[in-house]
Amino acid sequence: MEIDDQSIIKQCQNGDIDAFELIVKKYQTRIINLCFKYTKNYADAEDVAQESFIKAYNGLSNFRFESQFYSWLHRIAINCSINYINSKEKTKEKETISENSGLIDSNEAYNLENMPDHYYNMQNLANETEKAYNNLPEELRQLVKLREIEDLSYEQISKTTELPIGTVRSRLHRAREILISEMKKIIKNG
Amino acid sequence: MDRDKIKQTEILYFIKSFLKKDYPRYLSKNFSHNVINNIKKSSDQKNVGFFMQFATAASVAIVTLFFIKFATVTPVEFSKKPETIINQNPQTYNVTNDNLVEECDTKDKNSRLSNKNCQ
Repeated sequence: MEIDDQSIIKQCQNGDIDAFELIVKKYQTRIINLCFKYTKNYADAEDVAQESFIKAYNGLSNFRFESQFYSWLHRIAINCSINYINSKEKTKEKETISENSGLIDSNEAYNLENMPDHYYNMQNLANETEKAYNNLPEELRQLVKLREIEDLSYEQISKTTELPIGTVRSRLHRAREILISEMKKIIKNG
Repeated sequence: MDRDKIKQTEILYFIKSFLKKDYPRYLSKNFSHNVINNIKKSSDQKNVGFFMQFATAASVAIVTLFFIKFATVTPVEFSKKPETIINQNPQTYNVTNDNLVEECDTKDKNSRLSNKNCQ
C-alpha cells in the first residue's frame, strides 16, 4: 500500500502529472500544517502549501535523489512561507494580521466548520483515529507505535520485538487495514 | 491512476499525521485536485507561450523573405556572357630624370666626375 517516493517522482519526471497527486496526498497535511505555523491562517496556509507543491513539481527535473524527497519539499515550503511573510510585510498587512489574528482564526474556524462539504474537520478525524488506534489488539498497536510514531524500520522493529520480519509486515498491514476501514466509515458518515 | 488507490493513500497518510500529531485543524477536500489543476494550467500556458514564440518567429521570417524577394529597389542584373580580364599587368608609375640631366649639364667637368648620379 505504501508507494515509495522515488517511483512516483520518476513517473512525474517522465511527464505524468497525475502521478504527482499521490505525492500531494501523502504530504498535504504535514506541509499545510508547516505553512500554518508561518501564516497563522488556514486559507493562506493552503495557498502557500499549494504554491510549494507547484514549485516542487516544476523543480522535479532538478531533483537528484541525493536527499529524502520530503526534506526537499519541506525546504521549499519554508521558503514559500518566508516569501509570504515578506510580501505581507511589504504591503504592511503584517500588523493588521497580528492584531486581528485571534479574530480571524475564530471567524475562520466558524466558517470552515459550517462547510463540511468543502473541508475535513481534521481535529474530529484525529479523535476518531485515536479511538480506533486504542481499540487495536495490543500486538498490533505496539507495532503501529514503533513504525508510525517512532519511525523505526521493519528490521529495527523485528529486532526490538523479536518477531520475524514477515510477521511484522503482515501485522502492520492488518493494523493499517483496520484503521483505514474505520476512517472510511467516519469520513463517509461525515 | 486508480482513484481508490489514491483515496487509500490519502487516508493512510491522514492516520500517520494524526498519530504523529502533525496535522492542520482543517483541510480542503479539493486541495490535491486544485494543485493538480493549477499544475496542468501552468503547463498549458507554457505550451501556448512556446507556440506563440514559434509563430512570431515564423511570421517575422516570412515577412523578411517577402521583402527580400519583392521589395528590392534596383534588382541586380548579372551579365550572361563570361567576362575576360584583358589587362592583368600591374600598374606602373612614370618617372622622369629631366631634373638630374639638367643639373649635370650645368656643372663643370670635375663636379660631374665626382657626382655619381652624373656618371
